[in-house]
Amino acid sequence: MKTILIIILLLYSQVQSVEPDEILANQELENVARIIGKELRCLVCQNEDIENSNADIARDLRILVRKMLSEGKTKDEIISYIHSRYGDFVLFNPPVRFDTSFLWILPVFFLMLLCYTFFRKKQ
Amino acid sequence: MKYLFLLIIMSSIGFMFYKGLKIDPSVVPSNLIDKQTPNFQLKKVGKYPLFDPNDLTKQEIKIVNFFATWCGPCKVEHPQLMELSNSFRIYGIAKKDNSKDIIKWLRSYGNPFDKLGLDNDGISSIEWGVYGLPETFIINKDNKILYKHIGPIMKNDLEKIYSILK
Amino acid sequence: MIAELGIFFLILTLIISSLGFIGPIFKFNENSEVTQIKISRLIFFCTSASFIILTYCFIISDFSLTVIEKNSNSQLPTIYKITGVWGNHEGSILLWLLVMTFFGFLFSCQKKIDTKFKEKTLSVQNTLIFLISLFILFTSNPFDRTFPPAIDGADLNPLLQDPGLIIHPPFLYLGYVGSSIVFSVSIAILILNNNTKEYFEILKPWIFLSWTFLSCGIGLGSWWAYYELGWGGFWFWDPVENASLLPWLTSSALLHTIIISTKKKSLQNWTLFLSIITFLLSLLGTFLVRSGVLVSVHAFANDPTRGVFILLLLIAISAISLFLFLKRSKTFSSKLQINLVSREGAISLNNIFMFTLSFTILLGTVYPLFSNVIFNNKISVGAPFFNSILSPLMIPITLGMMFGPFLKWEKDDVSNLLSRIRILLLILFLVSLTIWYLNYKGPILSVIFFAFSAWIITSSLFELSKFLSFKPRLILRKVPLKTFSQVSAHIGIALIILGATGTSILRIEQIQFQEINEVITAKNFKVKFLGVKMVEKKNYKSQMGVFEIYKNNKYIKTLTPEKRMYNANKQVTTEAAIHSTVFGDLYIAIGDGNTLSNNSWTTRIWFNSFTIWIWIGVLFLVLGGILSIFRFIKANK
Repeated sequence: MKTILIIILLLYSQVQSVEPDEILANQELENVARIIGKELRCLVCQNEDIENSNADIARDLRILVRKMLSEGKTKDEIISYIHSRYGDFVLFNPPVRFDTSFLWILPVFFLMLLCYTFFRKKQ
Repeated sequence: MKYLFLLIIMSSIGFMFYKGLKIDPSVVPSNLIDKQTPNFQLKKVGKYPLFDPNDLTKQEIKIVNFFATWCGPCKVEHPQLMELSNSFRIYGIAKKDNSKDIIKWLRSYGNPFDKLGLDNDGISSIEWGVYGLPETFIINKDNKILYKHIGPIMKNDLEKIYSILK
Repeated sequence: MIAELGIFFLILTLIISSLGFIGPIFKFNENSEVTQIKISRLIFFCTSASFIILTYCFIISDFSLTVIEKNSNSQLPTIYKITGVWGNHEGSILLWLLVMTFFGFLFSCQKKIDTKFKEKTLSVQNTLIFLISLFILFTSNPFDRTFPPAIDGADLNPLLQDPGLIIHPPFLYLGYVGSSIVFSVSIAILILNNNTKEYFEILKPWIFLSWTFLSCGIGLGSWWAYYELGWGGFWFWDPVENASLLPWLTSSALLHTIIISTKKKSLQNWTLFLSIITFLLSLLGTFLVRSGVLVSVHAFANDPTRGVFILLLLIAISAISLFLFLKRSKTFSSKLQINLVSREGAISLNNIFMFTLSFTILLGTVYPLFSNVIFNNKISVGAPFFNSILSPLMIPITLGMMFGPFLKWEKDDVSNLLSRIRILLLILFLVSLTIWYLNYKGPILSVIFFAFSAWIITSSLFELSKFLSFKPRLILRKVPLKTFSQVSAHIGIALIILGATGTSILRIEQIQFQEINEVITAKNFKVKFLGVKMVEKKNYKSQMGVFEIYKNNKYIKTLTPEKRMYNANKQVTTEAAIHSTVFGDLYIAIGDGNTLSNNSWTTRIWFNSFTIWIWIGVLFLVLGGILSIFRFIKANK
């Protein structure tokens, strides 16, 4: 357990980001790559995205994202492909489905409940 | 009435957190279960026969194992792989490794692999949804992925693996 | 030997604090107020002794204690041996307990409180202290020994060898645990079943005190992350960060509500509810960090047994307090209707949106866990989700801050309001144009948030302008302390919005292999790389990059970011070098050498806009809190 903790902290302490040899020459594509990167989770880190992790899998995914962008794929296509390989866990913005819908429904419901509590007509 | 509501909310939250304590938050289940094996392309390692997608079309149970010579836990699971290779066909994919080290490793510890290949750019590993090492896939005769074992296969994991392999 | 003394004092604390609930149940002492006060002071003494003993053991590096062996090292500078006391689970939960007894002690000293009320409050506080000391003795004993004793310890995580660790956790705990007194007072109000305004007045100083400490603690944590982690981020939506934000949000809502419930005797139920929830959220935060139930960079080592214990505590305290609240809520319900267009209405809206924000952040944090249990899936909820809910909710919160202070109590009229503040509206319009002109080239989100920031500052200054008089000369008449603290706090929020927007949205980045003597441009700074120096210190070796900074061709300074390797456990950290100005920070980090060339290194140069205003904003926020506390102390004399 302690070893795992140290390894995890090691990964976190090494938070750097994109390496110079990964950056695309095309500034616009690179910006899209960064935006995509912020939505993808580093699967072995503690709650980081692939843009800000030193882990092997993060680097591989960063390179893949840029490769696919250079091939002309869209943001949705790239995220969809990585989603198909790794499942929901890799997405920091959860897909909209029945089981994730409560993430958005409950706050709205909560808001309405509060408005009612504060402003309801009293006898 | 409102007390009932409180009771329901408290017990459900308590129950969910309690169940949550038993879960390992770092394990990522595979998204490829019950799906067909993905495509991949590997490099040949020395004189060992190269593992390619055609090998998976054989009508039998197969095991695909992702490993590396620099991976400690891979060494730990090696005896179990050797045992499994007596009854089942195991294919190996070495991730981010080099031929010289792999050949030396297999010569020292033994070769459980029918065929193997080298995935140096990590693309094939991503195809399979691999994020760490070692990871092992069990594939049925219709080329469908049945099960993914994350981490080293220890002695007491063998029982579960054998039951799936039947 | 002395460690056994530490356990002895802890056991004493446990036994004596049990009188907190045993006393009232069995009505031991007729003169019960004196007893609870004596108990509070005695257990403060005992817990302090225990904590001092643990600190002493850390300083002398007694590696026979497990917690010291795991979290300290003889090579550590003494100050970090001391901060190591709370850099681990056992020590930090003892600190939690210490702060709890400290607040009990402070409350016992407060004058001008009804004796029956004091007794009830302290009995609740002492019961809480009993429960936490039970937890410590059974699952987290800092004085556990290892046998045979180790010769030296594993190093304290180098990330934690930083001045930030000296003050961040203590302030944070002062905030978290401060809410325990607010909780205890509220429970006392519910037990006594009396809705007199005097009792609610007692809540005020403690709400502000814990809120101020919590603001400090969170601000310090964010500042520390920015300076220490070498990445230039200040907020990561990490579960543990979220856990600290939740009670801060409900606390902020609470300090607005308490104004109404003491002035107008309405919203008393809501005040009690928020007080209870704030403390429950603090406890929940403790559970999330220490049980291993969530993946987080801050998490202490996983231990499900501790997790179960804290969970039981949390459920028990929640159930009992909320049950009591529901039972007595009739006493505190008000017949008064709240009008949407009124000061009460604005505060209500502020509460609604802050509480919804708090609920949504909590939901996002625990959703992956709950969803896994119910639907057997595995999802992630991260920064994109939290940022997308924060942005829309900022709109009503901003509007509340802008117009709330100008609304009349009880009932106001929109057209009347607009005509009263027509000068302000004109100024706001002009300010909007200025912001647009300065930023139209940038991303639309930055324009919007800069506008929010400017509007809040304008409204706050406009409020102060009421006190300006021009005859005989331009002077500022005596501004009530109340107004000053409110204006300061709101301006603080506005500055935080400014800094946060600039740092996250308007960030310029230059990542490259930089050659020696090569100059990289970032914003209007030129950064010249002079090479890498090897430096050796007491417990680490460092690769130090040397950079000369120029602006308008004039030399400004030399920055030296480092990459350190610590001797004891070979851990590597990145120490960024920062040059702060009011317009933004030049932030430099050094990476690895280029394997293909002897002469170049990976360098990361960022320009983060307006970052310093985040920290200045926090200072304004805290100043607002301090002014309020000062006001209460003055009133209490």
